[in-house]
Amino acid sequence: MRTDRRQFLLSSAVATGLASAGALLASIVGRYLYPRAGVRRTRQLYVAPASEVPPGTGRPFTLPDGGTALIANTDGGYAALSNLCPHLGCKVHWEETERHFVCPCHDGIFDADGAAVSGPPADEGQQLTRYQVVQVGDHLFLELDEVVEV
Amino acid sequence: MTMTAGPAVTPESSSWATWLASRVPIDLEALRHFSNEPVPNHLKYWWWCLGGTPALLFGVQAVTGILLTVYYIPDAGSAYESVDRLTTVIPFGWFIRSIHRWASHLMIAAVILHVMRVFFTGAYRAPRELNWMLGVLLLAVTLGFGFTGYSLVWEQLSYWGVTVAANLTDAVPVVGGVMGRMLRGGESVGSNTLTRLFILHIGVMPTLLTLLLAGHILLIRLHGVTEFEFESPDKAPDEAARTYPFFPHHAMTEVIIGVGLAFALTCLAVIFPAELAEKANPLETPAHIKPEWYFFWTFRWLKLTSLTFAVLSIGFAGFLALIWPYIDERLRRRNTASEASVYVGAVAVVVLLVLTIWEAMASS
Ligand code: HEM
Ligand code: FES
Repeated sequence: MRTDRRQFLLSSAVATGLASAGALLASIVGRYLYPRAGVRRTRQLYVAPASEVPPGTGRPFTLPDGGTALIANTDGGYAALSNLCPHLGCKVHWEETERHFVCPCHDGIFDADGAAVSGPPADEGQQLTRYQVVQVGDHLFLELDEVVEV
Repeated sequence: MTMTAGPAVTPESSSWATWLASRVPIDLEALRHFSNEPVPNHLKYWWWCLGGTPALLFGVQAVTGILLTVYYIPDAGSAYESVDRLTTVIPFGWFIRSIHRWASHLMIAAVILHVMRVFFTGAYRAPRELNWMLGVLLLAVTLGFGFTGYSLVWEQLSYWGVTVAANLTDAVPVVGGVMGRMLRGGESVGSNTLTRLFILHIGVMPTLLTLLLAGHILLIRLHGVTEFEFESPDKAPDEAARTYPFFPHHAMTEVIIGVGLAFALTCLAVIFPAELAEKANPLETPAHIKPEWYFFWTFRWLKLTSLTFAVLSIGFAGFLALIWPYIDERLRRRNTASEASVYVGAVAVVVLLVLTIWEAMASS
């Protein structure tokens, strides 16, 4: 009886020791593999002279980093839309004839204001992200809020 | 020079066989018995040999894959260029690459057909449930091979495929965010992602597949291949009449399948060599985007349903496939002659086919 108990305590101690060593190892490997958190930053990106977007018009601009944003000048001022599809991250493009954005990945369609009108993004009630547009003198800047790798 | 104590050296026992037997002391007779599985007669027909085909093709993939790794560079800045060089400059690089690519298509098709044959013949039933589960995992790993391998090329469709898949992972409830970041290796798809996909493709998955395959084959050997009533209605008592030995008959069948595959792969590689499309461009999604044929059904499903539902339903379907033997057991507990499994299987096949064909027609 006594040896049984001793044996049991011994096996439990060994099992607990091995389990904690395993857990420690797993958490080290997990931390090693898991990417470090990025940092949030805002930056301003030059777009164009304000005169290129007269009131009541809108057009896509190529950003210095190669991305695209559609800038529109409406009654409420300037608005800019990101071309990143909110569904699964493909890039939408503007179709002038239809006057809407198309995402080629799962046939998502967005109207000129960025609201999804058909396809999976519409099912989810999504819309294209709006950037803040800042006017400094005669120049338009986009204010980007992004997470970057460190 | 004096002889030290040891086994007496006689002319016969100095042969290499005796040398080997004493250095590697295994019981050859037992090994022969264990490897010489009695094979049921129906395996004389090729439809029943589909299980061996993916195993042979995996061998082809291991050899050609290691050869590709000699020139492939797993870095977002050079991956595409290295595949281009492999295809256009390295002697026979196009050939090795094309064989690897075609064998991947055939391997995936063979695994799917093999799973179907096991399903529709009910060969997953007790006591073989565990081996069915290993089979479902093998299918999942094989699809994973196809996905990661295609991503390595780093052409436009590779890049956008990975982007969509990583964002899809994010949509998994609770753990999705962590999994997505783990796959990307950072905030967005880039060099870290490519390295991870490469390691999965040439390290983790080959190891996993080898282990699963070893377990799969061991269980097949321990249980024997399911014998069917059609071949011995009155259960001939004599095993010898119902089966034939693995060596040399079945081994010969596999050799013939292997030769046939080698011929088919060579023809396909020469007539339809692997091509290289445009290089990945994170700034622009191409107008026509589609995955490989074996993911057409998921792609169509994503277009038809909302994101969360798509993710949950695909995950749930996979889970059902995994535990199917137990569901089937419940159904048959009420009615042992129940054909429910055949109907469920037929519906699943039709749904997958319709989604696949729909996508194929839409994208062509
Ligand atoms: C077992 C060891 C394997 C190794 C070491 C390996 C290695 C590689 C390497 C280095 C590449 C990149 C070169 C290239 O794209 O041409 C590649 C591509 C690829 N692999 Fe594998 N692989 C293995 C198994 C598999 C398996 C089992 C499958 C599928 C069932 C597979 C499917 C693919 C595909 C579809 C590509 C893209 C082919 C292309 O268009 O070039 N691989 N593999
Ligand atoms: S990623 Fe745009 S519709 Fe799916």
